[in-house]
Amino acid sequence: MSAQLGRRNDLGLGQGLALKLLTAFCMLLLLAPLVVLVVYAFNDSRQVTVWQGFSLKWFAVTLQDREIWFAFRNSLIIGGLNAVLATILGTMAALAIARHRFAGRQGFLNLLHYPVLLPEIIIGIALLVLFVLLDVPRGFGTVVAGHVTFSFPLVALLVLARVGAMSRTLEEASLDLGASRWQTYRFVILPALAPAIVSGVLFCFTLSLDDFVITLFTASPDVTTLPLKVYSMVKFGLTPVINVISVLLILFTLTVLLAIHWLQKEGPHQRWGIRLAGVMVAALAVLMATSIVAERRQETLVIANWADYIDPELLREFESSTGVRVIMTHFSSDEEMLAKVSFGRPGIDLAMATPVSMEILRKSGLIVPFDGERIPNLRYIDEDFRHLGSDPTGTYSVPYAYGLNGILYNTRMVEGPITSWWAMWDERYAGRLIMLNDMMEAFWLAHHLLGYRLQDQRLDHLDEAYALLKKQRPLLRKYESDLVNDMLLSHEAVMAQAWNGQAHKLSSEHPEYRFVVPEEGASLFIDSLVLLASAPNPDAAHRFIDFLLAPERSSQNMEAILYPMPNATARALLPPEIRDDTTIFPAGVDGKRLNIMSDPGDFRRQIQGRWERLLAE
Amino acid sequence: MLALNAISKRYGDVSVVEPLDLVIDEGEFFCILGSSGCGKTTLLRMIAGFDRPTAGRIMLDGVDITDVPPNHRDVNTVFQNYALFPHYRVYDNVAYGLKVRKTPEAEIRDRVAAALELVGLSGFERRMPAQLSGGQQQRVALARALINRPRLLLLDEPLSALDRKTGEQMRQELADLQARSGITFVFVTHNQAEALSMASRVAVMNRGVFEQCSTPFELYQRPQTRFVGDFVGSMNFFQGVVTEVSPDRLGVEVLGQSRIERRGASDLAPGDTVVFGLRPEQLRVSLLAPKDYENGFFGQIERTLFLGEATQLSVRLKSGERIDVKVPNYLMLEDKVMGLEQNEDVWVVWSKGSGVVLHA
Ligand SMILES: Nc1ncnc2c1ncn2[C@@H]1O[C@H](COP(=O)(O)OP(=O)(O)OP(=O)(O)O)[C@@H](O)[C@H]1O
Ligand SMILES: [Mg+2]
Repeated sequence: MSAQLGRRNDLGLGQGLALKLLTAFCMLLLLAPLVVLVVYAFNDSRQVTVWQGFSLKWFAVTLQDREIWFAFRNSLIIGGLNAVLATILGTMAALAIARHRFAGRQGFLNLLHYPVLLPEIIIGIALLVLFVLLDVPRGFGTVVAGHVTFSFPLVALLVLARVGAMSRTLEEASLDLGASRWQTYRFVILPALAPAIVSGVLFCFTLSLDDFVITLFTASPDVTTLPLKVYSMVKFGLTPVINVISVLLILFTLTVLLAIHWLQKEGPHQRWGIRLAGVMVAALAVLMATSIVAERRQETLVIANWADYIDPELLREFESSTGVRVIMTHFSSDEEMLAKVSFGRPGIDLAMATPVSMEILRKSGLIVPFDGERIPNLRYIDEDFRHLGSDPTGTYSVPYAYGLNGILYNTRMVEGPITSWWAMWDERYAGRLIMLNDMMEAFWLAHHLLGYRLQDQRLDHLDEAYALLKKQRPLLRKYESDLVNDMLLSHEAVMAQAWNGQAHKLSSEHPEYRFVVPEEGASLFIDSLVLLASAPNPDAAHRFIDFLLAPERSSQNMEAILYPMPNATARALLPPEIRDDTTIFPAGVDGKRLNIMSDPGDFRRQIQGRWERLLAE
Repeated sequence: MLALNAISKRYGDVSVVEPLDLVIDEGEFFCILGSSGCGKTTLLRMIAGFDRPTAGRIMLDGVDITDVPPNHRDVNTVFQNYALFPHYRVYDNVAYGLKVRKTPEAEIRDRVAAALELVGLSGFERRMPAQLSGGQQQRVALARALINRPRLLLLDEPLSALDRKTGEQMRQELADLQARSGITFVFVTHNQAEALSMASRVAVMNRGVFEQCSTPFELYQRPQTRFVGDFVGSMNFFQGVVTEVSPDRLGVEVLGQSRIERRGASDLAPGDTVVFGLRPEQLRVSLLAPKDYENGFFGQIERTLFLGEATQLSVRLKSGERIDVKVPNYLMLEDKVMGLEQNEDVWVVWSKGSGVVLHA
């Protein structure tokens, strides 16, 4: 198209060597991260930064993941709808501003800059508040509305720049030659604006595809988009699945771009191509839209969960045996889960809660007790886990899985066996130790090692604990929670505080890594399912939990997620290599030495101050 | 055919076109001549329908079209910058007017071919406008307008972007085209040569008013205002006083000398102050005093300016005034006019019938 807008020249601007080098450098800077990302998608290892050999297995894993497909489909639908709606609105806004005089025109023009000027998070919150106030249930509609809100002004600005550059006499010439206003728009103005409109479409589509913040605030649980999905996956450590998704996305975008480039060339093939592409895109849109509408008719059960924290096979089985569709919505922190379930009408039935967040939900009346009568399989839950401190009656929560915090180390590089937490203070490994990036865990451990209890909330004890951690600080590589395995595998570190589930992912593939729960004891996390007061389908929620607790299913689930569940009958059914794995089920663990973290209340501020000083060092 | 009744245009406080009347006849090649910014385009835009007159009516074939939108006026325009559609090929540009009127495809093809043939651009159908020279673009614009066979074709300085040679060639072609098609042309220009060579009638426009509207010959030979005399060609002006008026004689005293002039406005009375105008090419230089059928001033050659087809002498008169004389080149000896030197004393001479007498 550009060739039609101005004559070419032969000045040869931009052919100097310096400019070429600079360009090459910029390209390198731009592309280097992408290249790394793509290469590691073909890595055999489950670590994202340690090369172990070529493999396509992560592609298989990714393509088989039903939730990724759903997320991708949702992203496409939202991106497509946004591209169409925002481009139409944006173009109309630009034409209105450029070609008509009306009251408030200047104000409108200035307002168009707001998405550029306002932080995205503010727009997101504003939209959320608006939807809650209007009592609009969140879903596809609200996400698309949100995306259109921030992307149509960008289209308008794009088109406006183009309209501004367009000579008015073209319109006059068209009218002069007998064309009506409508024909003038169609034959002259729109074609002249076509490059801007096409970029607008692409721009909106990619903005939508990339958007995280606004989607987070406007989406309902069943409308997980790809960025939301990827983000929730990051929580459980980066895996090459994320690289694979990126590679597929890059391929997808490239295809679209090349197709558009080809379509923009003039010629008979292209004309047919454009028509064909238009028909196909329209058909696809209709198909997708109807598939959503069809899904909507079905009975659904919505669960807020950590990513990869339930066996998808079980979901399928439940769906086919009950006809209820299970929708997972993922979060990546307790805080996010709390936010998810406490605004407006979240449309969530069950949520995975830690003891701390369960207490908060219970106090604010956001959860209700289960009806034990309707969950006969509750009897399989281990007695120790029935009446946790945060749920003394045992009716508000159903314990799901737990994990232990211990030491993960490289037996080839650390003189073992390790049995005590004091190994984390061993100066021989200075600079190669990792502690979890978790304030509560660090201060609990320091208190515990000193013979104190964090729950006592004593400042003098806290100061001693701080001194102990301060002493450890110079020995640490860093406080890190997400990339522990990668750092161990690359020998950047030799020993780390880690959760057993995470440790198992490393030790199962690399037997030289060992996980122990030190003799002083360790911290325990428990995830429990809670029933939301606003649950749209509490009946299905009860049925689902009963389904899940059946020992053979619990066993299957444990085998899939590799976290222990408080279900002794189920554990007995596990294949021996899992049942006897000391990482998944650490040996010599008895209830007394295990800590379940509770909310420190106002004392948190005291801990926080000291933690920040540690981090700053 | 086209009649403008007291139309005027104001932008806020600025009056761009003063109320003016004009009647253009069927088949005329009408020229509007004026300097830059005098309101030519504004006037044309009102006729085409892009701008609404502040007051007055526009009639086409006896129908009031003042409020008719441009796409319903049987008028087409060739724009000052051509305004070709950059995203369409030459063919689609030319076919545009027919296409929007839903003309059958076959007829469009024939008429486009004919129109391109007419402007000499056969074979350029598949070019994009950016791949054409200025002159070719101008022809496409012309074909695009002519193909609709309008009652009236408006042309806004279509030749101003062309070099002189091409421009002159196009003048000829335009005049032929107009004659053949029989379409009424209203042609706007600031180039007097274009106006004089093509037009059947010329209106000279100055600051939103018509100073004079007549045939090219009349315009040149009998300018009615000092502006017209000066703008069309060039003219030496002198203050004068009427001394004698009779049906076939007009006496004017200029620079203390009595000159007898036969031509000029006849509503003058003795004692009126007037402007006396002489075109440089009506004058000659001579070493001899004027004969009795001639008039003359005596002065000194101050400057010589070689123009190519002629040479212009500036002669300073005794009274201090300067007068330009254009001398044809057949009088040149080497690079001098009749061997005359700088500062040489000469007579500037003209026959008594030459010159115009205008109201002061
Ligand atoms: N929209 C407007 N608002 C105010 N003044 C205007 C407007 N449009 C034109 N003018 C003024 O009107 C006058 C006549 O403009 P016009 O375009 O008719 O000139 P023109 O005779 O076509 O000149 P040119 O030979 O340079 O094309 C100019 O002085 C111009 O500044
Ligand atoms: Mg003009």
